[in-house]
Amino acid sequence: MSHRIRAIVYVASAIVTFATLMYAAMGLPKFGTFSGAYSAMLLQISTLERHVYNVPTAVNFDYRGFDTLGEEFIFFTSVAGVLFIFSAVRGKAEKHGEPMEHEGDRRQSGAIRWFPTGLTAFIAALGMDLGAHGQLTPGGGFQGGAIFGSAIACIYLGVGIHAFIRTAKKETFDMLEALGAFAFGALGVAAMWITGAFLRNIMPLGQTGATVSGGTIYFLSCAVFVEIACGFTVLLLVFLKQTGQTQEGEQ
Amino acid sequence: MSLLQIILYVLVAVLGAAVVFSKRPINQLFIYTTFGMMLALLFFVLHAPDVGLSEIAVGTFAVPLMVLVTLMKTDTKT
Repeated sequence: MSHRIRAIVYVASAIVTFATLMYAAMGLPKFGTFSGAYSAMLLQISTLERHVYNVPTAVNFDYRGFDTLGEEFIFFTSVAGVLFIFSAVRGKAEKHGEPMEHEGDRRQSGAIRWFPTGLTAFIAALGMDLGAHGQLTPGGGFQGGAIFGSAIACIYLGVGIHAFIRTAKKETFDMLEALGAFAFGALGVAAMWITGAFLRNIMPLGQTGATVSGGTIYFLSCAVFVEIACGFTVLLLVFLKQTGQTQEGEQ
Repeated sequence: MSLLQIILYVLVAVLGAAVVFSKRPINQLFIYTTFGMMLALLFFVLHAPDVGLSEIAVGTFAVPLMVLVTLMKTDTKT
């Protein structure tokens, strides 16, 4: 296709797309005036009905808990896919020995070493805090877990790959990730067994505002926290091992 | 719309375009990370802190990490 034809095709499709988008945007409600019946209803009933303050968490882990189950398994399957692909690649590179043997003697500036080291505990605490109080304040299992995972990444940045590999044992984190995903499903099936409805909130709701409240919402959030934190750690581990082997192979 | 919201909307639009137009993948990655931070701030300002926290974790940690490692592995010159 010549340059000219390509330009004509681009301009034509750009105009059509832009016009369609503008037409669709005209039908949108005015900025800040959206009022969906579903959100209004949830805002009214969720604190009374589920003893939670943070409505998005109640939606994620209770009212639309089944959607979250799907999302958790998308994450789980993605991590499994990455592990599968990289384990196939690792077979070839294995003979080059332990990953990143030279990492220890690489010179790093003090700021790069000490800043993440000092932050590790703080970020880990922040992640756990967000994960544990999803029903009270913004946050929840996914956000807390992802932030906890980045705390483990700080170990790599601050102390180095060997300490990171010693901390993040792949077998342990693999198992914990699967356990988190399993716990989510198991809670759902347990609810179905007891009440006949999948993921129904079966636990005592507790006092509104307490650390453990909202019934199964709290426990589902914890399960997601474990799954996401361990999943991110495993991802980081296999990615970093990859870079190590490339450099080993090239030397 | 408050002034802060307008500033953040403009920043997100400009940075989003910059991600598309930057040529070197490594520059693109760091612009993308800044874009993610601004997007997270915009979510906070629009009263969606849950989404903002997810965006911080994914947009400034998970995605940059994987892209960075991929760049390290595929192209040593960048």
